[in-house]
Parts: sequence; C-alpha cells; structure tokens
Amino acid sequence: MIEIVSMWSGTPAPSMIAAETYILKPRSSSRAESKFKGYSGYLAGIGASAIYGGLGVLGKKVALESHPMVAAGFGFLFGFLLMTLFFGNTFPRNIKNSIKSTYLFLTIAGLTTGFGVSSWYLALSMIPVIIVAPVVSAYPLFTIALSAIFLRNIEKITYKTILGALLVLAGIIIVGVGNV
Amino acid sequence: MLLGIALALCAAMGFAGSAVFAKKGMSRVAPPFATAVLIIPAAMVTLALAFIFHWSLIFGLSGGVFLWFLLIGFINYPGGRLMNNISINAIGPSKSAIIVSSSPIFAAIFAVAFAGESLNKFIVIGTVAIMSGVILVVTDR
Repeated sequence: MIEIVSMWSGTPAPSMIAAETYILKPRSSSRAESKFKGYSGYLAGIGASAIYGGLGVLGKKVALESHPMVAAGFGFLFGFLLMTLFFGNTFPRNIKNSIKSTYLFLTIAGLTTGFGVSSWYLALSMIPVIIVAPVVSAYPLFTIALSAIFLRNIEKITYKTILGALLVLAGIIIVGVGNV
Repeated sequence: MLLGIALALCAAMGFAGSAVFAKKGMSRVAPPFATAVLIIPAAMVTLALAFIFHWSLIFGLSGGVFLWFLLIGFINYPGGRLMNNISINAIGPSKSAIIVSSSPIFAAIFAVAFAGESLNKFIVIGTVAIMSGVILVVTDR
C-alpha cells in the first residue's frame, strides 16, 4: 500500500479510494484545489474569529440571566443537536471512513474543550477578566508547542508563526488595556 | 490569585489541546462530523459541572433563557466551531489558532458599531499589532 501525503495539509490520505482519486487527478487541478483549501482555511478562521468576537456581546446578555457555565453546557448540548440536524445525513459516510483513533482523538479534543471552558469560567469567578483574558489569549503559543509535540510530521512551525502568535498576543493585551 | 491564573493557563492549554487533537481526529472524517463528535464529551463535562454547582439555578430558569442557549448553540457550533475546525483541517492548528485569536478586533468593531462605544489609541495600536501578526501568518507559505 502506497502511503500518500496530501499536498495541502500533510495528513495521510483518508482512504485508498481517495488516494486513487488523488493519483488520477491532473497536477494543475490538485494544485488549484490545494490553493483553494488554503484560502478557505484562512477565510474560515477569519469567519470563526468574527463569530467569536460578536458572540461576546450576546454571551454577556445570557450570562447575566443565568451562569456562564450553565450557558456553556446547554450551548454545547443544543450545538450537538443542531449539528446533527444540519449535517446528520453526512454522518453515515464519515462513520464508514472513521477508525478507532478518530474517536479517540476527537474525544480527547472534546474533553480538552470542556476542561478549557470549565477552567476559564472558574478562573473568571476567582480573578478579574482583565487578568484572565490575556492569559487565555496565549493559547496560540500553547497550540504551537503542542503541535510541535503531537503533530511533528504534519505541522511545520516557522519563526514567522511564532512571531505572528507573539504579535497577536501583544495586540490582545493592548486592546484589553484599552478596554479597562 | 495564583489559583485563578493557574486555571486561566489550564483554559489556554485546554483550547490548545482541543485544536491539536481535533486536527489529529479529522484525518479521515469531515469537519462537521468531527465537530459533532467532539461536542459530546465537552457537553458532558460542562453540563455535569453545571448541574453539580448550579442545579438550583438550572431548575429555576425560564423557557426564554433556554431559547438564548439555543441561539448561542446555533451561532457557536454550526457557526464558529465548525469554521474553526474547517480552518484547523485546512491550514493546521497553529496558524488557525493565531487567526481565530484575532477576535478582539471583531469584538471592538461590533462594540463601536452596535454598542456605541468609542475607539481609543490602545484599541487602534492593539488592532494594528493583531493584524500584523495575522498577516505574518497568512503570508508564511
């Protein structure tokens, strides 16, 4: 079995069928696809950032009427139900493609999300947001460190990535100071 | 104070771990499926803690508040988290985390546009720094 590494992300090809499709594809088409995937990744990141930025205003209102951890818990629950409602028809295909490690890694990702959100709310209940926000904003630096450990063969960490993360962290702290 | 900072660091590590392991988990499945699967343990952890510490509050909530939770769930998961996972899958967790963490710029834009807040020099300088960091990452190929 030939091990193929996809051009756009460096991850192993999902299946032999996908690998064959990849082999048969003309090089220019694969390159265009790779470029598109790169751009869509940046655009999706900016979209997520805009949604998280806007969510703060809504989150404040909901937090006032209940408790942030309650809001987060039910937000997760409704989020799961809505994801199933919107994308449930694609799940059987994904279940067929998945292997044990898919669920293992996604479960760890979910547990770390829950751990992160819970720690965040507990931190907010103990110290002011002006201290919590910049500390939590350092998460891209932790992501780079964890990527270097767990995604050694997939993720390339450059000095530009580290410098970019430091600039964003500095910017977040400055914006935070401006909001005091 | 120290415990609070340690918890904030735990939160940062939790979010970082989530991005890295989501990338590993998405090698064979599409981001929408991965998003739905990873929400399950996250919901279990936060709901368990919410019921342990705030059960009386939960049972006293009105139906209207649950509609707000539904709206948050709608915006956050089929919206924000799905886009975040698409980004992680396409460009990797490190670059994605840097771009996604530029959200204070959007928070400032929304605050000025809809909440009537005004810009100050800190917000302008901070925005320039965040933008520079994001541009540096986006142009790093």
